[in-house]
Amino acid sequence: MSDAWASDQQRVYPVYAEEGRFTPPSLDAVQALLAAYPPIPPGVWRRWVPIGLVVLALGIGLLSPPALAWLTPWPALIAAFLYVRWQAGAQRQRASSAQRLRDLLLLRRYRDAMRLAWRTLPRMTAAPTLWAQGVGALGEALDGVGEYPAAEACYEALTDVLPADHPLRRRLAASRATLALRDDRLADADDALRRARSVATDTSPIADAELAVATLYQRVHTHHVADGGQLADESRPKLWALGVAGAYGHAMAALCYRRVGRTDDAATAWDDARALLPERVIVHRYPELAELLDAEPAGAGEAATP
Amino acid sequence: MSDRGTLGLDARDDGRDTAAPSTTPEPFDAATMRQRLAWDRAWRWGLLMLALAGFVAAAVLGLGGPIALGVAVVLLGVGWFMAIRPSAAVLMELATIGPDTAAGRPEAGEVLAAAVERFGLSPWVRLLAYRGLAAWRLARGETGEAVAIAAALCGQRLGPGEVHRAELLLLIADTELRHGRPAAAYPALASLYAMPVSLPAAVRRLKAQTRYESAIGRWDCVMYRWPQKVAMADLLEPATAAEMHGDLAAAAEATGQPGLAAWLRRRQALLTPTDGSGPPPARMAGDLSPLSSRLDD
Repeated sequence: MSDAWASDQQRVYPVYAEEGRFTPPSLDAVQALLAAYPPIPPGVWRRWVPIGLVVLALGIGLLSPPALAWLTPWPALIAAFLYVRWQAGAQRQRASSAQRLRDLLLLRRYRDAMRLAWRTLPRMTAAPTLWAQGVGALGEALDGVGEYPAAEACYEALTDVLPADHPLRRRLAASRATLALRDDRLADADDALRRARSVATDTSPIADAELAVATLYQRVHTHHVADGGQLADESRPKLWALGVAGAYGHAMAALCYRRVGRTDDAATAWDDARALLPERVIVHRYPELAELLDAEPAGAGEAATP
Repeated sequence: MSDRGTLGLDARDDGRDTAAPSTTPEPFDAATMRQRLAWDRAWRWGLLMLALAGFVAAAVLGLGGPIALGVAVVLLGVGWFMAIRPSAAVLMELATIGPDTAAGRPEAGEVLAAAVERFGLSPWVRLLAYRGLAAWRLARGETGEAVAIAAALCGQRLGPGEVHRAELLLLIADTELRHGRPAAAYPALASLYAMPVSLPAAVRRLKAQTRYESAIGRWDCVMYRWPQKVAMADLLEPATAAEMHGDLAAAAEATGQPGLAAWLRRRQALLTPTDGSGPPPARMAGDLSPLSSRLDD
């Protein structure tokens, strides 16, 4: 049974099954893409084109010989109709691409999501909301394939365009803190965490959980263990909101417990983490947690997998 | 952890405002909805025929002068504007009140009540308004009304709103299963398997199927390809995933696999909300919410 679940997880988390055939875009390339295709608020002219065509039709009709006046305006009217249809079709196509991106991210097919986001972002500029979704998706995909500086550039671009009181700012700040820690920029991470805590517009469980994981990661990464046990106690009840991704938080909590000498709690938290995700997946995403593999061998606590 | 009986369609401890609105939407009546749709169609065809008749009459009577043409184009424009204005206004309102509808707030109910009673809508816009009403009723725990509206909508051609058909069927299946009526959920589930659905709908469909098979005691079907089902459950919102893990654990126990059952129960416990919100009621949409999908909040 364990084999069945593990092999299925291998399929769900295909990062290990893929070889080095793919080169993710560099930070410079991502910055160049974002600079080349910023969101463009819908121009007034877009609304006036069909009206202009109707006025044109009227003008043509008035200037035509009376015998043809009922016929000559129709090409311009048909052009107005086709223009409106073309606009609606383009918008539907953009929305469909955004939905496909969400599906790929849900399936954790980060490379496919990244390719699609890269290809469709230039077409999203005409719809700022979809553009923001595309940039967010590109950031998540780059994060998923381990291109952390490029992912942070996406989140930064997104933060720049979001309103000051947008609820997503808290989650973005927490994500940026994690990415800064991966790059050993401790001051930036600290600053991002402070900003995340200061955003009061999103008190959703998922934002709380993401902030808790980012804070735990800061303690793990910096070996700051003074309040690690207490922080882990406070954080673990929040991690349900992340679904299986809560495994990373439980594993970080296990490491915090271990470093403060609470070995039983460490074993329980590690088993919880391994019940949600295979340990290889956890350690691949956060290599700092590798020391748990030796310290908390499988079966140290309650059986984590069937 | 209970996975039956605490499914909590009436659990209203999630901060939603359930005070009675000042203008309560009328109880749903399918015949009234069909009557309104018939009037909508008659109104639109009537306008179209009137415009065509005007053009034909003008051409036949030789009223082709420039002034007559100008008047005709202006009248056509004004008529077209008047015809689409109510539908455009309702579409804008539906887009604006989306979050209030999902939260079951009274003000959304007032807007929806006015929308479904409005004269001269495009039929598919009226159906979208009814869909909003179903979501609002569901959010307020009025599941009987929500299911009645959804069932009536599924009997109509939804036009551009056809993309919502899977949600409506899922609403019916989820609600009937939560009320312990698997036979009533079966037709909706069968229809869902006869149509293409999006990934989020496919995951929710699998969850409903698992609940259905549990309800009729087909534990072998529940356990069929369980690792894939666990992987799919992981894509759901945590509380909903926890429910599916509960069904799988019950099936594992029933088929004599205590180790697997314990592991599934452990996962269920880790995915169950600890903030007292309990399992979520059936939803119209939005069980799956990666970061990038929250940008339109």
